[in-house]
Amino acid sequence: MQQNVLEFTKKLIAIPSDVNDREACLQILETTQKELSGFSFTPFASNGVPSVLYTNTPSPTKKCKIIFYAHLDVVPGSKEQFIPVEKNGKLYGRGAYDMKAASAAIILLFKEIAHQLPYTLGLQLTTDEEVVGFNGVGYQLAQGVTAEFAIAGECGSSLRIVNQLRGLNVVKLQASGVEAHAGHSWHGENALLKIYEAIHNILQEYPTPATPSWQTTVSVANVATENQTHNIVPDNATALLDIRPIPEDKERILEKIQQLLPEGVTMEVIKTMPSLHTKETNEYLQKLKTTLEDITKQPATIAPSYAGSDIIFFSMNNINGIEFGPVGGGHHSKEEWVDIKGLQEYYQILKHFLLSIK
Amino acid sequence: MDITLQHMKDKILSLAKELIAIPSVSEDTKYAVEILEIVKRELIAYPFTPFASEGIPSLLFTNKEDQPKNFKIILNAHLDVIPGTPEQYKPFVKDGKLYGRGAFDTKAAAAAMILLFKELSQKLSYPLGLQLTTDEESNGKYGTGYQRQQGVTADFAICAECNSNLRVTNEAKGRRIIKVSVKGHAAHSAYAWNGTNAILAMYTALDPIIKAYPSPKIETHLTTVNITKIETANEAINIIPDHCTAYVDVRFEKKDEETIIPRLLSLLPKDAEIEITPLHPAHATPADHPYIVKIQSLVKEIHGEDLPLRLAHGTSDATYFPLSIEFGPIGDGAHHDDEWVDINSLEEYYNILKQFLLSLNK
Repeated sequence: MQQNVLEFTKKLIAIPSDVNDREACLQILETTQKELSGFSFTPFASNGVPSVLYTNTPSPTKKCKIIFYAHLDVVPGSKEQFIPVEKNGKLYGRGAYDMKAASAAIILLFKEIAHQLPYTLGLQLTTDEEVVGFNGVGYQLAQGVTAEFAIAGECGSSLRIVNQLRGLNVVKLQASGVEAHAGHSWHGENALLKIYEAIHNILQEYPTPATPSWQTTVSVANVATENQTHNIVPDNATALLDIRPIPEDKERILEKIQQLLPEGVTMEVIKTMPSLHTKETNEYLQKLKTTLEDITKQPATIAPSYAGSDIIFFSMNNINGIEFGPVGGGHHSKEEWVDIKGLQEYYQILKHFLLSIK
Repeated sequence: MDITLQHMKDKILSLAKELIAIPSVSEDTKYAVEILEIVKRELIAYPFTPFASEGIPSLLFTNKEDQPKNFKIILNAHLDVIPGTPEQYKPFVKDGKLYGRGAFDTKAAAAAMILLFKELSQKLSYPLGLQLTTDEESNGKYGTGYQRQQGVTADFAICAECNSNLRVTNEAKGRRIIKVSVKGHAAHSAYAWNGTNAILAMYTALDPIIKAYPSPKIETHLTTVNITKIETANEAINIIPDHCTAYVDVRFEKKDEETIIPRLLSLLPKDAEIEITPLHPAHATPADHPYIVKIQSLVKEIHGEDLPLRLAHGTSDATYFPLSIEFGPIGDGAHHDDEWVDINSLEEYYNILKQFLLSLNK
């Protein structure tokens, strides 16, 4: 098995499926299709982005008990990064960690045991996670794909069970003041100062932590005014906020931000993504935890993750899910790798997990 | 006499309307040329020197055949305007007021100066200059500034500016723009602790200045400091910006000219990148200058009211001359949609200038 997963991972890394390269993304889906020939599948396409759902059923279905989710797209890389290299027990290459090794393991595992399982197992393969998978997993779920539990082989997990992710709110603040000639500024009200006051109030309430910590953060991405002339006190200004609430804050965050705005500043929610919180008591999470501890002989870690991923789409559709991927590092960097031995453990854990479900 | 006066008022009004009808937005060369043609036609018999710098035309009319560059008095008016709505270029009279873009700033006053020059220039014993420019709204560098650079001087200059309202304006605030840039460290917003937000660093940098120079609630002679722009090149919502730039407009009295910038710099962080654009220097012509005293007494005599001297908060081409004033008729709405000039005051303005110029005859 180990050799197969490793070789298949290398094969996947060698296809430069940059999320912006639709042709390569199609090619990688075709490569996986060859591996999974004989299984029922439903193809999807949204805005030109293809994705597939494989199932272990005689005919295609959208209703699964367990879903494995894997994205085959990667962020852009240099030419060398698409040539996989083994060194000191690690496999290097673009996508090794994010998340072609996990994809290879999941695909080959599905191939090996899906037909032995007494329930419906789904395997979702998408190609747009790196640009937020609205057209991939988002579209599939909107089309009625469902499951009791979803596992995304995402990077960042490194054999930890990630059960919590922060939500995301993109908020635009709009300040209106009174325009005036800068020589007669007493006639005006500077909108940039109002935006400043708003930002100040919000950051007082949600200061950016100095070190990694599981809390809500608010980041100011942009401040601007339409004013183009230097002798005018501007009557308009905007700020863009990236707000990442922890699950406990998600219900009230927008209301709280609203309360912190001074007079003359309004807010508009541009985008909202929910947070993820799959309870530790979830039966599938517990089963995975037990299996993990049996195989690694170590206590499992259940932890939150700071970055978002497509697992959030399951949360949006009220499906419990987790991120669970092999050990590695350097995703989105030049030195991306996955641990080869850990990959074998990963395969075994998932295999026994699937077999433990009745 | 009355008939002559009525006649002159109509002539000023008619010329002012003609000037307003030209959408001579600052630095628009086509309309600048067109509006100066109207002036040339009006003053066809008088010698003039055309100037042009960076394509921006201006004229200097003189009352002497030898076309001197050194004048006892220069009358200065700008014929450019800030952009207006199409309706604003259709002047109309209502309730004794002339409305239109540039009515107050400064086409009506320019019309008065042009016609006064025409009436008086041959009656004056001394050299009188009439400067007409087309870039005051964009700093006057290529009009009045350029003419001064080319050696045009005056013992005393009268600039037909708005907001004077017949008050002799002998002081004007100086102006600088400070460009402040600060750096941060970019990071993905999911890992905000790895970054330093340049926008927040900018507000921290500007905070002492904002506190030391709060926006005044009422008109003041004190230094004003206004943040007019803040920007960052960052467009990605999930990235913490690593660079931010702000522009700060600073206006100060003559007495603060030397100290204001060092003071502001001392309030900014040492590692901020600073670029200072010197625009107009502060301007002050002594209040007891005999010409100022004379014009003020004529204002009292002709307008019937004793008006105090004034400091201009905005800057104007007056600052290009060592000794000069801003002086214009009554009106309001400069740079606004309902700009107007009072027609009676326009006539008074004409007469005050006329009596003043005649009083200097030997």
